[in-house]
Amino acid sequence: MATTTNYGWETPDDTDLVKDGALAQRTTASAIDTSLYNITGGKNVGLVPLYVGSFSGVTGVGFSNVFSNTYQFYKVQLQVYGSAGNQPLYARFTENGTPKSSGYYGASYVATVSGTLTYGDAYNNTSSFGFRYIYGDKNYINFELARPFTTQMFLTSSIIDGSQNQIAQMSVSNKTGSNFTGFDIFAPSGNIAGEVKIYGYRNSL
Amino acid sequence: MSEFLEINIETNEEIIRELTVDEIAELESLAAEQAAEQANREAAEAARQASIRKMAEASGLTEKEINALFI
Repeated sequence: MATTTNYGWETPDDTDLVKDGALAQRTTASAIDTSLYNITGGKNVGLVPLYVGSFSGVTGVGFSNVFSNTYQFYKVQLQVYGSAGNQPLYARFTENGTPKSSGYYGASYVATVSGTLTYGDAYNNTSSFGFRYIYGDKNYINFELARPFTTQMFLTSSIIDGSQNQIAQMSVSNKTGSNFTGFDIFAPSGNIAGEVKIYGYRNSL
Repeated sequence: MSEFLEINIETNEEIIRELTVDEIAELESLAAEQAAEQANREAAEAARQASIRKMAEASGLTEKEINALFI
């Protein structure tokens, strides 16, 4: 019996009868089906890449047509480089391209790796919110969003390995917006550059 | 020149536009707010360090030991 190299799926031998071809095809396809289901953990699970790209030399970047009813949860990974040094990177949601400039509530916590400086920030109906901080390079930001297209919940963790080795955690929600379709990020001074990856979580198995 | 990049992830269309007067004003406001916050934090940290030094001198503990009491 012939088999494939990696997963050992059964395939017809050269000497098999042609009249047994249909059964042989079903056998191979069934083995592939089972392997794929087991490898992915289900029929429709996992992260779906929505966008992978980069930007440079701009004050800010807006991503549109990101959120919809298709997915309830999203993951965004950013590697950002700032030209102006020690400053926050701000963000806000957009509704069909229009920035939502109110209603952000949340809190962030910042600490140095050495533990000598810690402080917190609160957002109380602000026009945007800041990832604190970005430096010249190595600013990694990962944030998760829950239901941005219906109700709003936003979580993020920011790991920063710049000159001051700061780490920030933040949670932000927006109580007043609805049907957010995208988001903007921008720096108050200087330019930013970076890479971005946006994923949607499949809703069901 | 301040520019803003708009990316439509559905079509992969990218448009670069100049910032509006209102957007520039908002950024300047955020930058000023940020500078003030930073100055406040640095002043608070300096005061905290000074206080720890005083406590260390008075108690005979090291600054590191004093710091540990407040974490």
